[in-house]
Amino acid sequence: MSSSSPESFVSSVVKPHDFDAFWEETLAATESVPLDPRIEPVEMRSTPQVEVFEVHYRSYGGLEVACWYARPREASGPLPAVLSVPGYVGEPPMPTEIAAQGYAAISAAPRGKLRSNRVFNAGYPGLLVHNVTDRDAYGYRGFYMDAVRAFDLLAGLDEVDPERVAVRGSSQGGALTLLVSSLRAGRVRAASAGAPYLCSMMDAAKLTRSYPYEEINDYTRMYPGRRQAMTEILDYYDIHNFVDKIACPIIVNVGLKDDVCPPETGFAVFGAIGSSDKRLYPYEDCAHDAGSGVGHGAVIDEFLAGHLKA
Amino acid sequence: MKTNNEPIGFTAYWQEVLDEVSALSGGPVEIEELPIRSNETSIAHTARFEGIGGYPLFAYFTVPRGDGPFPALFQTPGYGSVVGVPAYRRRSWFAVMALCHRGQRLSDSGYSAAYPGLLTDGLPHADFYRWRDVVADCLRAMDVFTARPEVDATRLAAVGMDLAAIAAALRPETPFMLVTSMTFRAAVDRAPRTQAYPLQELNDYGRTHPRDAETVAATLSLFDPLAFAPRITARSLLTCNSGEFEYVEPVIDAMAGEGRIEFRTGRGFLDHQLEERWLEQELGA
Repeated sequence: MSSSSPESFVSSVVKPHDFDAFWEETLAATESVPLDPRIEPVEMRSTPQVEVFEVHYRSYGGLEVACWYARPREASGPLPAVLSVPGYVGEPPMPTEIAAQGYAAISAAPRGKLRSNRVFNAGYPGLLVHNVTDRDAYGYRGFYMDAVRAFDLLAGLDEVDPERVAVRGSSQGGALTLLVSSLRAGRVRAASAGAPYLCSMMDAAKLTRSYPYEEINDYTRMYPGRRQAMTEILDYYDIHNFVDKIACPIIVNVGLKDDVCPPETGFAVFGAIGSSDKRLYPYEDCAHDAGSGVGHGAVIDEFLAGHLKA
Repeated sequence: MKTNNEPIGFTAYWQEVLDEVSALSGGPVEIEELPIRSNETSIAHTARFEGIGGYPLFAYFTVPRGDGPFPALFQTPGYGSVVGVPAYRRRSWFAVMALCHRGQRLSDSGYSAAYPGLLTDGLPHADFYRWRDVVADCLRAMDVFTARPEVDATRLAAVGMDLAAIAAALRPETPFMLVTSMTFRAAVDRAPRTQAYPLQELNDYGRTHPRDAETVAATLSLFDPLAFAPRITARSLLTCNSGEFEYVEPVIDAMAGEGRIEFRTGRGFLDHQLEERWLEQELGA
C-alpha cells in the first residue's frame, strides 16, 4: 500500500447535497414493490439439523432476485436472525452453518449473482462501472436495494424476532452490511463488516491495482473525459457517505496489507460510523482475508451471539 | 520407491480424454486484444476456442509489454462462477492464461454451473461426471496457451487448485507447478468431517443418493491428485494448512518431480507473498 500509516488517510469523498433525498426516493420506489416472496424447500441442501429453502422476492424496479434461507429444525419461539450479504465475485454461500447455530439465516443473491441474473447481468469485471456516469441507472442502485429488501424479508418472516436481526459480510459483503445498517438503522440489532469495499472508491483506485477497483482505472484510462462525472456519481453510492447513520453495535475487521480493499479506506469508514458502540479489528500481515485465517470468524460468532441470544 | 495409487481404469479413462483433446489440435483459436483491460505493463486479450464436444470456451490471455517469449502461468480455474482478470503483478512479469471452464461466466453458453452443485454435477458415473469435461477444457486451453509465440514453455507453471496438479500430470512436460488447495484429495474421506462447501456438496449428495456411495467413490478416485502424482514431473510447491498435511504429504511423496510443502500461516499477505516469490524465482521472472 502507498500509505505507511493507514490511520492517517483522509477520504476525498464528498457527500452530495441531495444525497439523503436521492436515497429516500430510491427506498420509496423500492418499498412500493411488494416483496411477494416465493419460498421453495431445497431437500438436497437440508440436513437433519437445518431446513433449507430457495426464496425469490421482488425488489427495485420489480426485478425478481434470489436468496437462500435456512433455519434450524428444532426451534422454539421467535428466532434470532442473521442476514449474510455476498462478496463481489463469489456466489452467496449456503447459510446452513449459521442456521445450525440457532439462527434463521438468509444469504442474499442481489441482481447479477447466479439465480438473479436473468435480467441484469453486468458481469465481473463490469458491475463496478456499469452505467457509472448515470446516477439513476448505475448498476449498484438496484443491487443495494436488493440487499436492503433481503433484510426486510428476513425480519418479516413469521418465525423471526424482528428485534434480533443482524447483518454480516466481508468485502462487498462488508460494504452491504454497512449500507443495510444505515438504511435500516434502528432495526439492525448488530453488524459485522469485514474488509469493506465500495468505501472511498476513487481514492481506493489510486491505492491499489487489484480488481475490482482496477475497473475504475480501466474505465478512466479508456474514457479519461468521464472521470469527473464518474466521481460525482460514485459519491452518491460511496459507503463512506452512509455510515454516519449507523446506530447499532458494530465490529469491523481489516487486513493491514489488503491489496483489494485498501486498509486506509477501512480506517476512514470506521471513523465515520455513527454508532458509539463500535470496534475495529486490524490484522497485521493479513490481506483481503482480514483475519479470517487467524480466528476472526470466532470473534464474529461471539459478537453476534452476545447481541442476538442474550 | 514411488507408490502407485492408480485406481482401476484410471489410465484408460484419462487416455480417452487426452485423445478427445488431441483431436482438437489445429482447431480455430481467436485471440483479440481487449483494450479496456490492457495497461501500462501488459496487453490483455480475449481467447476463444472450442473444447471437446464443440463447447465454446473463453480465457483471458495477457502478455507483458516488451519482447518475449516470457515465463508463463497457466491459471487453472477456481471453484466459483467468476474467473478474474490476471493480477497486476503477475501479468507484468508473466504471460498468463486464465481459463473459464465450461459453466463458468464467459464460458456459459448453453451451460451454467451451479454453486453449490458443480462438484456433484453428473455423479455418480465417471463418464458423465462434469469434471471430466472440465479437465479436458484445461488441457485444451493449455495447448492453446503453450502454442503461443509469446510463451516460453520451458518456464511454464500450472497454478491453482486440483486442476493444476491434474493438468501438470496429463501434460507431463509442464516444468513447474504451484498448487494451493486440493478439493478432490481424499474427498470421500474428508467430506464427513466438514460442513463447509464445496465438500459439503458430497455430504448433500450422499444423504440424498445413499445407494450411489460406491460408484461416487470410484468416480472421485479418478480425480484424486494422489492418483496423478507419479505422472507429475514438474518442480512443485504445494501450500496447505497444517491440518491438511496428512493428505498433502502423500502427493509430494508420490510425485515424480521434486516438490516441497509450505504451511500457510493464515495471514494472507505472507502466504501470497511466499507463493509469488517462489514463482518469480523458479521461473526467472
